[in-house]
Amino acid sequence: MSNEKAELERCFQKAIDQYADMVYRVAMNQMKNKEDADDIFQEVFIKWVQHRNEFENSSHEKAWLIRVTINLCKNMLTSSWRKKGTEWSEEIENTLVHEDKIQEESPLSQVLEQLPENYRIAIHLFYYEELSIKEISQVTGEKESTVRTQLTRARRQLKKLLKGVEL
Amino acid sequence: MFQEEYKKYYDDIHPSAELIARTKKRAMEMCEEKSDDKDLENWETDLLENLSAEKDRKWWKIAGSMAAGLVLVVSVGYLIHTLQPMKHQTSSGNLAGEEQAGTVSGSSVRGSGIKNGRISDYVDSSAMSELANTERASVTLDFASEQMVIFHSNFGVVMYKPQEQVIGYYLRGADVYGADDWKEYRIYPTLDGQLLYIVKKATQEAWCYDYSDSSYTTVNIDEVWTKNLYLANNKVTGTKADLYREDSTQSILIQVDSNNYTQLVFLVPKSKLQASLAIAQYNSKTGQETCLKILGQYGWSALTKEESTNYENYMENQPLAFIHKDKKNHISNTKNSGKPQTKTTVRPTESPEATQLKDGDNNLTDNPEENAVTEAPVSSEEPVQPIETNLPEVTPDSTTFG
Repeated sequence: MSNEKAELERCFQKAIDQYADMVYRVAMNQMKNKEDADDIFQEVFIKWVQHRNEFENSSHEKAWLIRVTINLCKNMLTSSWRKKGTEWSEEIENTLVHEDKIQEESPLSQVLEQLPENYRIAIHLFYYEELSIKEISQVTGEKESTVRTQLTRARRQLKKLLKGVEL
Repeated sequence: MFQEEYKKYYDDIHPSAELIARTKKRAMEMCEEKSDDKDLENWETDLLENLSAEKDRKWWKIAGSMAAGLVLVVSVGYLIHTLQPMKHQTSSGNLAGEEQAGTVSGSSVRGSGIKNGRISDYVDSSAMSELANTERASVTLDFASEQMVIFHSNFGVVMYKPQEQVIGYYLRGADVYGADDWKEYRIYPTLDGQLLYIVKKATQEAWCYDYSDSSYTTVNIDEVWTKNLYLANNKVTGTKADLYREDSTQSILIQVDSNNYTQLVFLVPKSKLQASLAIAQYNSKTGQETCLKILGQYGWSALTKEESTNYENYMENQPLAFIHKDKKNHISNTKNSGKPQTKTTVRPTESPEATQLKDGDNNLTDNPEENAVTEAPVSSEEPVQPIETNLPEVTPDSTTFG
């Protein structure tokens, strides 16, 4: 095995240890299903391999990974074949009863699913990754005021849906 | 309470071991593909060296043969005149022939098996194209939006305004990199392209070029990472099939928005000169494409000669003026159509505090759109008018915090 490959393996493993869960959770947050999140996860780390030498520090790397994950999710969500696929699956969904699915899903996930993608990511980065509004703004590429509005509106919706839960 | 519940919910979400293994496998495969490409390049270099050695050996053979011939003539003459009775018994030709044969077989033949000098006999045409691209791909596309395209190489940094078809600014390589190799530097434009950070990787020194006032100042490296930088994840690297021209430079296709792509291409595939560098813009929705010859018909020399430097000895006899379509495009006219009116032409030494950047330069759009890359048809080589569209701002691709 060449040194270069061994070095890549080592770096890759380190990145996986550090960021795999974070990337996967962001992907799940956006895509809402395991299959798509799996695809996104793979693509993100393939891109990471391509750009691994460009990171200046770990916070840069982390921000980049979140950003790329969000971008790839957006790409997938807006791609035409997916839109078509979603239309079909909605039609199929209407004809089937998913009792198992309903039982499996927690109330929180059901509530989160009702939020728009940009609200969901703002909530996730704020509550789970514990980023500040400024950091969320940098990562998502949105204005701080926009992030603040998204968070406020998301909280308002969540409060309504979760019936008075403290946020 | 919500946060705890939220965390608890997401704590249970992990990528499967199988997914990680699959991802790792793909990553390693990709790495191997890249290293195969490198091997091919090395092999090409070896081949060229061997061919050069082969040429040298040919010259030695010719020189040896001539020397042997001369010795033969002198010997024969001497024998004729001095040893007339023995002339029919001497075979000096055999002696010379043996020496020559010895010269050939005795030389160390590196890369034996190469019989002639044409590389194309040993490399198929697609590999040739790849190698040619690698050789010429020494230009990096740093930024692309509807309004501006920024790229850099050893000649410096160029910002081109595709809508107006003029060079916005040109920072000379000598001023940007000094005596260093240009590859030691990274170029980081901000999301709006207005600020350009130039970072020397080894020393973590940083400079900022502000397009709004053409200032070129030293900045603190930490400041760079707090900005909303336009980084690489909108660059579509992928496989060759992702690039929509075979003779394009490598890895420098940028997705500008959901439908538009910008790429640097060389319009003369076989030439190693960068004179034919052009910007290709492709709209996947309308299928319309635009090809802008950055330097018109004059090539880099027009630009570099203007700056009293010679680049690749290209078109020595061309006039100095760089004229794209009309007089206003002359590179030395104004900031928007020529070289930047930099406050400093060499590395400035001001303190970072004295050159604080303005907040609000990096305002972002609210809803960035991005889409998957699609293959596009081959662009025409003639420049055409750019597409007039009202596309959204460029989406940010990578940022940092902390």
